[in-house]
Amino acid sequence: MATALLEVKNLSVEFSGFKAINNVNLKIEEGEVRVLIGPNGAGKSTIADLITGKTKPTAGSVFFKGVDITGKSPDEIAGKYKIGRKFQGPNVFDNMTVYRNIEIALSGYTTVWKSLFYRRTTEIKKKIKALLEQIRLYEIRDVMATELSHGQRQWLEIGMVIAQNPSLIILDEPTAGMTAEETFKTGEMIKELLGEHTVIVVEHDMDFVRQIAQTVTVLHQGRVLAEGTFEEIEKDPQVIQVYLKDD
Amino acid sequence: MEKTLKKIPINRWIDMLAFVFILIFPLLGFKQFRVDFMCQVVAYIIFAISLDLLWGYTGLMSLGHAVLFGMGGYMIGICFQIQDGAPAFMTREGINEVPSFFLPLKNETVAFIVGLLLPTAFAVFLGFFIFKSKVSGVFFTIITLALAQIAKDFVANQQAYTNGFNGLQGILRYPVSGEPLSKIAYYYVVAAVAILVYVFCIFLTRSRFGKVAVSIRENESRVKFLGYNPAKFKIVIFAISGFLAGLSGLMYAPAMSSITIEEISVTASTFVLICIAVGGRGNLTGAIVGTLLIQWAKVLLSEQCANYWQLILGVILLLIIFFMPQGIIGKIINVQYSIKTRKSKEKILESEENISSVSLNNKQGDEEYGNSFTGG
Repeated sequence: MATALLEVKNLSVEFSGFKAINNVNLKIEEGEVRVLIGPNGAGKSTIADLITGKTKPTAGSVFFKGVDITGKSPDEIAGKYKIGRKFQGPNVFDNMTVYRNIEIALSGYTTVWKSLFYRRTTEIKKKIKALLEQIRLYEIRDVMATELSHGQRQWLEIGMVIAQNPSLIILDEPTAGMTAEETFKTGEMIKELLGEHTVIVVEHDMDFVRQIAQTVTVLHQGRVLAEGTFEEIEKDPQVIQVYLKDD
Repeated sequence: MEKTLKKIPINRWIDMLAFVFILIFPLLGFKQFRVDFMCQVVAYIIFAISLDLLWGYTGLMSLGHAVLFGMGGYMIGICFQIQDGAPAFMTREGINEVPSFFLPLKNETVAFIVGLLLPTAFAVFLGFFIFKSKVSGVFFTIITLALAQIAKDFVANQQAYTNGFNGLQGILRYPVSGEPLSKIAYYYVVAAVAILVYVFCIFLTRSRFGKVAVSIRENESRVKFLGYNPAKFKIVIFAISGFLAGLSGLMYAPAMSSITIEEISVTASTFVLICIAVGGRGNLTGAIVGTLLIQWAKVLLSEQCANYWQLILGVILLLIIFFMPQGIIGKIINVQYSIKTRKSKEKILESEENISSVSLNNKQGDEEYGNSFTGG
């Protein structure tokens, strides 16, 4: 069998005695869309932190395309292994224009030397334009990110992740704090991504998950509680109990 | 042509005006001591630009930048002190021979190059330890504050080598074939260097490298997740800034004909920070205009009212910072930005309305979808 794109083996992390992640195993195949769900504090974002190098695990390892990337720095994981991440935030560059936000995220110019001699060629301009149109921000490309609405900031960050041209995209609560209208548009945007990319979506909202999910992993108190298709998960008595208890 | 001219931001026109003013200043018929002072101010502009790269663009506020400035100034200062054997301040301390580690500095060119490379190397060394160990924000500022204090104590204590509190005098305006440059020739040398530095910094800040620096200022932790190593970028910017600070010291000392311990102190660094804050951070223009305004205000006010000029200047600075927190040039750029983006902002509102109408249509058309997000 070919190696999975991402493999998480017996991963654990402890924050001063508290086991945020406890012996988690995950296997994500190329082209897959995986949704991580779970109640607050289940460890969803912590797993994203562990994969992208923001947090170092206490035990276990993360393999990407068969290479051990456990404990590597965030910039190496993002730059060399091409794992792109959208934060729960929106986490963008406030006092920079929409255009610059996307431009700075473009892959391939991340060293000091290359950044000094980067030229905005016609090809790059076309690429950025297409991307801005995809995230519906082309018309307002010269506006500072700080002036965008919450939803537009989320889209901008999704655009930045796409600009990174990653092999794996991790979207951490892409619809958090959005209005129903914005959630709808975001759903559409993410659907465009599916198929072309391998995506991990961390979500809290079960209804949103229903639209996009292929395989769902349910986390609860740092452990994998269940894994399967959305229909299977929906009927799982354990999952129902956890969600009924917490919501 | 007209279109490209329109594209130039308003502050670049102000830069050009400022440089034209600097270039014609000696021709305006002011007394010689005014022109001499302007020459020092132009050297200070180079210093302010170097600090603006670090503080304005990258968000690293240094309270010890004058130390790097002083490294340039002291190298050329020592050079002219040791031309005729050990100077008086050395012999007084019992050193009758020029110490061997000072001997290479006897050659002006060598002293000049050392004056450039020493602050650069120092910035790389310091930057390596500070940025690799992930020290950032206010802790960087505190370390530079300590650095300034240590440097001042070092110069004061090593009286035999630095002439302590007295500083170094008799610095000549780079003699070419025996004779020092004339005052007016040197004025234009400094002005030319300032313009070259400015053009270089325009290239640097407009490049992607400069944009990464701004991204680091805006959101350093996010930059990492785009594949950049912020530490490397910060070290390089600190090094470039150190190089330019050294250069400004090398320009300033001969204009002043001396360099003293006061010029490397925290006070000196703070003064330049104030110039940048008043002019506006992170656009180069603010550093140029702020330095011109504050330096001249300082000297003119102190002539008018010798006793309480600091008080007046202080009040003016407070008012400027209070009413224009982004500085004078920052304010002008903001106004230009809001005019430029007025149309785009109308589009923000439009597109928000579009979102609502699209999703409303969809709720009616696609019932399943409508349920799925209103159900939660």
